[in-house]
Amino acid sequence: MTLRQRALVSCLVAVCGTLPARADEATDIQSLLNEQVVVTAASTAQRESAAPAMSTTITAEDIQTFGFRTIAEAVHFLSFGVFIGDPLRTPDIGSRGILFENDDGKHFLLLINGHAVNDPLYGAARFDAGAGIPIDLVDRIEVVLGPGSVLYGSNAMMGVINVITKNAADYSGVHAFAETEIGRSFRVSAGTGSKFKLAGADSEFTLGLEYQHQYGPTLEFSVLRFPPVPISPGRTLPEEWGGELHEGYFTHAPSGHARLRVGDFELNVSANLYDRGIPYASSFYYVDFNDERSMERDRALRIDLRHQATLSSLVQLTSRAYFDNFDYQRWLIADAVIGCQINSVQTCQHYDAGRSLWIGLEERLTLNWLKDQTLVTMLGVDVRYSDVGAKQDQLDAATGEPIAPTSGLLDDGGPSLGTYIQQTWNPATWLDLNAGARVDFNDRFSAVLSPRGAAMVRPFEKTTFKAIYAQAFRAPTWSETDLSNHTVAPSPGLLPERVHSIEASAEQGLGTQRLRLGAFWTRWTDLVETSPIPADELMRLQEAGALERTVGNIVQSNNVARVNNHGLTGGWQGSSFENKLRYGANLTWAFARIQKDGESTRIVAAPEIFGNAHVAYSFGPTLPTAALAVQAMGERPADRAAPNGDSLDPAPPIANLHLAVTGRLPGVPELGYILTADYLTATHGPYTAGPDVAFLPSVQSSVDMLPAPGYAPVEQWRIMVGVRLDLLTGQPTSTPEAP
Amino acid sequence: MNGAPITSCRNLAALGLLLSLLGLVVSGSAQVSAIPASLQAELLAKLETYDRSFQARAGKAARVFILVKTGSARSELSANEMKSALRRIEHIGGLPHEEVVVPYASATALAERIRNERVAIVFIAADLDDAIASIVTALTGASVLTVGAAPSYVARGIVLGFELESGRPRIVINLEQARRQGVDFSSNVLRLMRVHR
Repeated sequence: MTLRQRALVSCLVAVCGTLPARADEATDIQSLLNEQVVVTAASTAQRESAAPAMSTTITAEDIQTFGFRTIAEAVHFLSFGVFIGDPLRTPDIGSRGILFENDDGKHFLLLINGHAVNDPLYGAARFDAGAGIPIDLVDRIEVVLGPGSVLYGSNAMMGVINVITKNAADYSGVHAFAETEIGRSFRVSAGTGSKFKLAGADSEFTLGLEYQHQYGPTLEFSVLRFPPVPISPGRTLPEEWGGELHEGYFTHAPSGHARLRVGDFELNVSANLYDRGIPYASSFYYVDFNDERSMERDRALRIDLRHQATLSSLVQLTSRAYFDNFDYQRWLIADAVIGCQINSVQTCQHYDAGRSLWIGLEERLTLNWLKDQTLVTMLGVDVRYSDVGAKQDQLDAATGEPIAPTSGLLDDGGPSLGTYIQQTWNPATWLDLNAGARVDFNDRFSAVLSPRGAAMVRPFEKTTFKAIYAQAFRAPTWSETDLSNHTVAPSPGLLPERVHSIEASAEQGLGTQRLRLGAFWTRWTDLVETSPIPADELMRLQEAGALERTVGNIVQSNNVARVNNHGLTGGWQGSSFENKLRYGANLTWAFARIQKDGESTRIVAAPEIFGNAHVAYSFGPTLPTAALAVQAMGERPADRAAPNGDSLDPAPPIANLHLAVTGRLPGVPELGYILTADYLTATHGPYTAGPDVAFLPSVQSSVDMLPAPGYAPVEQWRIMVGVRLDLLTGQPTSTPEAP
Repeated sequence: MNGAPITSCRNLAALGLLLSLLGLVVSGSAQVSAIPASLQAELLAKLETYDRSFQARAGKAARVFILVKTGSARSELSANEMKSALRRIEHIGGLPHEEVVVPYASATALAERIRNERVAIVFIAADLDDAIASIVTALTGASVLTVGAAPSYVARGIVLGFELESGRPRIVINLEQARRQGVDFSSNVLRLMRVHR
């Protein structure tokens, strides 16, 4: 054996940790302790190998080791098959090569302790600071890929992300954290957890509070110079847009979450506010450059009370009552002709407000036929009442006085019902079967069936094969079906978007290593797109009185697109040296084409190849832990074309490097520190910046003279330092003396 | 900023309805482990290969008592799950094994049966919170591994339990009680456990 071969073998021994020489080091136990228990895929605690989906679990230790500040960051760097697009507002989340720009998280269902967050008016869920969950309180994030409507209903098209908060046992004492990027941003959080007896029952309480603040950095946008094209009597297009942005890129996000568990009852309450700037004009936002008055605000209050009753060893009943109140406001400061299509003032403020309230009751009966969880039927019914409202005002930005009547008034609501059944069967240690279906009823659209069938086979102890078929849907939101104003026509006949998915995967455990490969095929139909409506349809709507004042083009949402998508994905993760060294890598290649109007094109802002890798090493309890994570994406098509229809160059491949060093001060274990640094290898992504004025009727004949939009810059560098204080934790030691 | 969010008095009514549900009567006992029984059983079977007193305690075959509270659905469910999971495992600590479901009567009666029938492991199912103190007292000095369905049993003197931390199983051990009951895990696996002293 050559020296090189010997070095290779030594390396394999060290990394795999499975050879006989290490058998006395309890790698078999370590391997079982590394096995993930998931609750989201089948809404019950099960081994990941028995779950009817491919999933990733991001642990509290991962979040702390890498110093992640948001769910989006954690998912971007560590998750299998998921990626994030950052337009400098709230991020877009995509999966397996599919991303819908400016999507507001509509196609991923976000759960917080099993409580669905996506609202009925916009379908929105935030994955950044707006998620409303203090990151320090997160015990784990389960990212389940693929359609998940079978148990959860609408929005679970790309998958389900379930954020599970810590138990009091893992968060006992008092915790405080502060970190800053000096002069730009800071995050502070505090929390507590305790266990106690209440009314004779084992009880616990956890509370987390967080405030994230970010202002800047200064970003350099391309300067777009517009020709002096008349856009209304006496007015021409603004001369230029762009330059140095100092004011419009900010976030203020306070949030809090409390959980009280008393015996079989569990109460979750969370509340948050999320203000963020709209730093640049795009095809969705017509905003003046560098004006911090252009912003969005979310406010949310969520309450979830559940009770689990074991009626007999055969029957369990889980009851859940929930209440959500979410409201959204947006202020856009823009040239009045472009932003408000009014020329009575120079600059207008376009104000949108929307609110959603929903309250519901879910009852779930679990029939444990053999009384040992090997043959279980789950039956559930989820009754919900939603109430939504919206309005839009146009004001003089200088005086605040209205310059047009309130439009887009919406005040509506109605009940919905979801019923589901899931059958699981574990006839032998090597086989798990899962089949189920859910039917959602809503008087706004026809009943939707979401079936799923899955088989998980383990021919050998550490080998798992999965085959899964599933369907999911997204209910059309009220903003898509009912919103009507001077630029948007209602779409009362909108159908739910649908996705059908077939996937297969193979997973091989090797000591503390885990290798998995998967293939997927998905077909998305009835996708909703908003586009200008034909003149004859416009005339029909006007005659029917369905439209208010109309100026220029009117857009409408329609089920016009579909997506064909397939691809391969692979991942490897493991640990060595008694878990001191942890590492992993994920890679996805996906073919995705969106089809509409007889054309098939790549999906904008979505990569065909992407992945991430991470490594962390703990030098010891009193020494630092060093961690490096990398996320990389191949080129992504720009999110819009030039005004004359020419394509823009795609965004170049990009890698996001994230370095973290964490530790405890020697001699003061209550005090910890963290240093993180982020670097992006490219100066921009696929998001373009600059007002889209081609829709203005007076500009139609001059589109060839209009400048192509520039790319929105990205925040290339970020360095943060922080301190952590953990008091009264009372944690028992985990490093006993040898007996 | 100009403009104000639109509000609805229905919000308050709905909130009031939900909050009224909080008035329901509270009852319950210790939370059982969230780890699937099959994983607990596998861990237990492998852990016993690192218990230096196990073979001497068990003899040729390991006898496992599954202690259940009669009349408690939660206890019966937890006992059935563990019994079924253990029966799917060929060996515990390298030995064949048999499971016996034992309704809990008294701690002294249990201790006597354990000594007389050479029981190697006792799994204490859910809903036996009130009996833990008596069981621990009665079994001190007996050579037996006690395993709790609820991880909180370990703080009260049960030797071993399993809890979920960030979605991964974690073994919790009461080291002092382990010594009192002659359970002697090697340092290799003790390093992997959370120790309750």
